[in-house]
Amino acid sequence: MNVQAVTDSVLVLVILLNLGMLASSRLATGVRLFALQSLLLAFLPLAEEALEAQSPGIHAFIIAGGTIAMKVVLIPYILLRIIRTGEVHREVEPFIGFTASVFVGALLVIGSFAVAMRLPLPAPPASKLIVPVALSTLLLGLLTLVSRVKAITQVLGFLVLENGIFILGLLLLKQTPLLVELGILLDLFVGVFIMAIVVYHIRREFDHMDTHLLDALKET
Amino acid sequence: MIAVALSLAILGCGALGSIVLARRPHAALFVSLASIVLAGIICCATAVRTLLGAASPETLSVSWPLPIGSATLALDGLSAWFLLVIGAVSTAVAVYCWDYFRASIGHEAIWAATALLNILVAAMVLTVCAGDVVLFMVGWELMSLSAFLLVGFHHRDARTRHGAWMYLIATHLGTAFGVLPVFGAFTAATGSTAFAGFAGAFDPSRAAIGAIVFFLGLVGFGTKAGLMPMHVWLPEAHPVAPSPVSALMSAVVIKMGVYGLLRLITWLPPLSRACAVAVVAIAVITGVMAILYALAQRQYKRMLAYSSVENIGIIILGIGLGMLGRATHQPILTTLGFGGALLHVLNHALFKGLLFLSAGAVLRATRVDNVERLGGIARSDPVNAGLFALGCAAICGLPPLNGFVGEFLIYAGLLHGAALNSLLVAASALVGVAALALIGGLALAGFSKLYGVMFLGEPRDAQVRAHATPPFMLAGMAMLALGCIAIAVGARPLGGALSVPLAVIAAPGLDPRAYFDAVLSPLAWVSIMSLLALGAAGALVALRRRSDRPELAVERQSTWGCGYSAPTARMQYTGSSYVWKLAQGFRSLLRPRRLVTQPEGVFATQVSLKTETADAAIALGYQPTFRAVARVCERLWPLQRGRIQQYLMYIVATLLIVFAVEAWLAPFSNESPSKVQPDTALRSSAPEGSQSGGNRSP
Repeated sequence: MNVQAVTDSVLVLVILLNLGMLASSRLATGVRLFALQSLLLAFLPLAEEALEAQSPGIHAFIIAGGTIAMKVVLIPYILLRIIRTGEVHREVEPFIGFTASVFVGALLVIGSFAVAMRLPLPAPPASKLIVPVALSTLLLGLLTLVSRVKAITQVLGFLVLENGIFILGLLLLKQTPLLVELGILLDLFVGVFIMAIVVYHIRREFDHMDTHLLDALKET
Repeated sequence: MIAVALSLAILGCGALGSIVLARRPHAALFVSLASIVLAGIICCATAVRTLLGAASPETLSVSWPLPIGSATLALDGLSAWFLLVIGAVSTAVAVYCWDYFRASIGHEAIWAATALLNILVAAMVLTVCAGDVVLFMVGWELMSLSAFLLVGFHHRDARTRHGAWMYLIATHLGTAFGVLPVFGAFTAATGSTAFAGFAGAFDPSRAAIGAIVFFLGLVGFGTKAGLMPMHVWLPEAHPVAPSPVSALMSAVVIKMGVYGLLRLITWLPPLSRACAVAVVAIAVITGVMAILYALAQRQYKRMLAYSSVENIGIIILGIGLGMLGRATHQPILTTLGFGGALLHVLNHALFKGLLFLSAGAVLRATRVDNVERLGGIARSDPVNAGLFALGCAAICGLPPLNGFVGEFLIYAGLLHGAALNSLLVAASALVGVAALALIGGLALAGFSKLYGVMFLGEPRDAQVRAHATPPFMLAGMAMLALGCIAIAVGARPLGGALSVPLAVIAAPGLDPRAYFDAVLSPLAWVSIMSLLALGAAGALVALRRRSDRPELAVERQSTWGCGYSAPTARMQYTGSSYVWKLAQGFRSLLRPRRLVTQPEGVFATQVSLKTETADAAIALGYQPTFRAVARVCERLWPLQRGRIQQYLMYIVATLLIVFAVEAWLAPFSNESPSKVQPDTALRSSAPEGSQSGGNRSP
């Protein structure tokens, strides 16, 4: 089993995990699936270098290590903690139902494969699956943001969206300076941190975590 | 040329210094004003050197990180003339500001105002010295934005916010629909953004394109200058701005529009007669209507703003005359028209700056912006009254002051045009003469009203107190007043200075000096005669004062006392009653609205009369248009639900559409990728991926 096959199967697994997140109504499950997805993605930079028949450099190791520390350990820990203390465990009334959102998600995956075939790219990708998987992860993250109500799921959608950007960034790994990658990770951490605080305050004000009531600023 | 860059650097340092020293307001005020004065003096010196022919036109290019355009500063005669205006007025305004702003330290963020003043002056210098479209637009927009922030300085007042927004919207509409299309046309025609190549970009044989570009420019630059019907922001923005800012805006900022228009004319081939006549017509309408509106105003700064519109009308009249000269190949018309316009730019900057500063001193002392509540200020603030009187005399074009010199050039040119044997040209020139005379007369009525009601007579409102103006404010005004006198005295050498910018505008090979000398020599006689008359009158008064005849014993009575036993200040002429006759005469043009409560019965208790004059351009043009736009925009409200998921959905939808367009139409890629990509990309793996998505979907 060569590196190419492993990479491709990892990418396919990433999409499956995305759809799994869309299908699950339990918040904790969603967070764990996200952690698993991030763990898979963390090995991609290493595989990327291996694919080009060279031993992985320090750059790739730092990215992998940072990703594991941030997205597999720290952020899921914060989110699970909020879920536990908040005593909210399920997404109750999503805008788009679970079955329907999996269906829409599948359509988006097909769409991103169709688009990715035609997109002009700066450099030929290491694996042909990278661009469509990146696009579909991005779109499925956005779908989570649009279709879910709970603040936690919003954060989750944002994280999945970021994972999509991460995969796309692999394409440009050689061109992207380490500092930028680490900066993105730091941004992500700060973003989740702030969102956690916001979620905490929403719950304290309203005794729930819905974003339903946050529409008072609209034009009348 | 280095001097221009140096003054820009000084102004930048002044702005930074003001911000850095915000905690020490006196130091901040001093640093920022000193930098304006220093930069102003440098600008004046550079401009004078160029205008006297001591320095030839030069350019300075600096490397520039942007992919478009280039950072090219260019200084030729036309730039130098406007640089002189900027330098002179901003120096005087900065001197004035020292005492004006020092009193409000602690109440307001003065450091912000002075930093913005630095930026405004720097932006104007950049605008007139730019040698490239991009740099010009940088200066132009910087000028609009800093002026907007300065107008809105007292932003807690709703009227101020209204005026500031109106200015911002007007100037951006003008830029979007006039200035940018003009530069776009030139850039498309020449393929570069450098001004140097723009001359001759349009073939004289295709006159229609030249005319279209010119009128687009007239709309765009005319909005900044305040040409009717794009003038509506002036009477809203100028009264609410701090007075030094109004002075700077009215004296210099609106002239940038004139600069843009003149620069545009230098690039275009001579336009047809019809175009020139149209410009003359617009100028006549602007001038006459604006001075009529000025007559009807009760707020003195608003009246001054309308008077600025009127003076822009006179300047554009000069430009129209110059264009007539170009169309008919009459160098004397070109010389006198453009020359008169340029001279009036400088003159108006001096006396309108003086009037706004002087009015600002009154406003600061009394905190009353309505003339009908003022009166008798000449007694408590005589120096300011004298300076204001000088400004009024100059703006009315009375000899021997500078306003007369500029208008005299335009009059002379118009009269020369009237002698041409082309009916169209002669008729429009005669209309111009009549209009200029009418404007002069009405301006005299308006400004005698303003001066009389504000400074003479008795105070109309016992609660209004005036006091003497502080020395630095007077010094700033005096500098402008001296400028007014100096131009009148030195009218003849001015002909030489004017020929440098004229050489840029008009065709080369023209010798304007001969024409100027021919026109300016009778002018000297007029000036000398009027000086003699003034001197004789002054001597008579002095003699009368000296003579010690008991039957002529002078005692001080209240003005308009007229032997009433119990006169009150309310018996005086009001400003409105003073111009009532004129306003009645032009009733059909002004359309004042009268709200009358008729007296009833013998002892009527409820009687009132209220008149107001609304600007026709707002009432008939802009208000209905903007209402219609607002109605259309209200239809879009259902899009705003305030729900975060919905906004995200808009973003997703946009993203999807962009993806689809890029993938199937590929408008942004240079090669033709859609045909090549499938081979190199993912033909083999695509079905596998989509299938794995499909497996879970049911």
